[in-house]
Amino acid sequence: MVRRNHLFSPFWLVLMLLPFNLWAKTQEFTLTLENHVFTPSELKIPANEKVKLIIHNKDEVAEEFDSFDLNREKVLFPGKKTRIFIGPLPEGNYEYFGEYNPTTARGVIVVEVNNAD
Amino acid sequence: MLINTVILFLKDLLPIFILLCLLKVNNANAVISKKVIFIIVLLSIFGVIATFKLLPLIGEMWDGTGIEILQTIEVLLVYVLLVFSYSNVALSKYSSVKQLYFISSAIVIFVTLNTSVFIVFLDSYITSSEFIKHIIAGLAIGLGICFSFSFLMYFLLIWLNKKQRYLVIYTFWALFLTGQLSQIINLLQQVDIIQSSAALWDSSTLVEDSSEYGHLLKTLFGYEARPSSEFIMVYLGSLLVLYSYFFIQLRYKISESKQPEGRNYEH
Repeated sequence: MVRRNHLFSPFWLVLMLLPFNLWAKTQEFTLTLENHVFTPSELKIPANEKVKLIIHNKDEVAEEFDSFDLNREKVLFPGKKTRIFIGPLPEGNYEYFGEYNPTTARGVIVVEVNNAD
Repeated sequence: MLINTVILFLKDLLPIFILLCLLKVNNANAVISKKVIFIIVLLSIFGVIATFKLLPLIGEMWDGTGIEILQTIEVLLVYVLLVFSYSNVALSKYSSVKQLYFISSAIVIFVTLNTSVFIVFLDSYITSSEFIKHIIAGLAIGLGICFSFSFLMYFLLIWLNKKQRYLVIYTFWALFLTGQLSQIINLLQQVDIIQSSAALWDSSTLVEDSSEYGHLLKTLFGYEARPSSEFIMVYLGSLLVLYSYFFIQLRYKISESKQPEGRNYEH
């Protein structure tokens, strides 16, 4: 009797690949931290869409990305790239800052309906 | 740097002081041996150092979601351990050995969870002689504020305990524990394990998240000015679990006390 391999049935394959398909649609935006300053200081993203934010900490010390407006908080280790997801968000300005250097490491995410970079 | 150190100290370490304060109020009669305290301190130090050293590595695991998953597991463990150890204590006024083990384990995990992130900040600046004075001053001020606040809270809870306002004390406890648990929603949403939805309301005109009151309310009750529907669902669900458990215990205790003393059903 031949045992059928249910793992590779079309249903399971679609189910397994569905998350990858969803991830592929997520737009990516990059922020760089260097000398305790985020660049670009103003990042435009589309409204009502989930986006992936990649933050590259080029400094030799750790930093913590923090945003009360976005409800996000993540440690950025030196020399590493960190990924966080934000949105879907309505139009508006959402401030963020580096918790260890809040005077210099600051920026704003501008959520717009059109013209997203 | 001074103000920053104080803010980070309060944000990361004040919850530990509040937890110990809440546990102490309802375990006032429990005798914890010096050996157990020594083991708790030793395990906490080991946990903090190990987590701090491994954090960059953990951060890269599972497509960059390692820290959030680890913190979620730690918060859930603390929640489960404390719900099933403390809720009995709140009514029966004594702790069994098993309950004390649960509470001790929860303390170790909670200290590790909160302190390891603070150590990342300290590690970044402690080597610089430029900042060392500010950091030491910030630590001293932060420690002073934490001790002052937890002593005030302790005396308030002791006073409530003497007045037999157990439900009020339990409400402090339930809100604190629920506030800690609900933070896992933000953690899981930022790495896309849970979908994010729009904020249900915006109370930032009343209390801003970034204000002093916002920080304090977040530590005490998990306050969010712009909570998502997932956050509120977990918050309400946790309160429901905690109060249900409390009232089940209370009912059990009342029915136990109504039974006539000295009556033996075996005869």
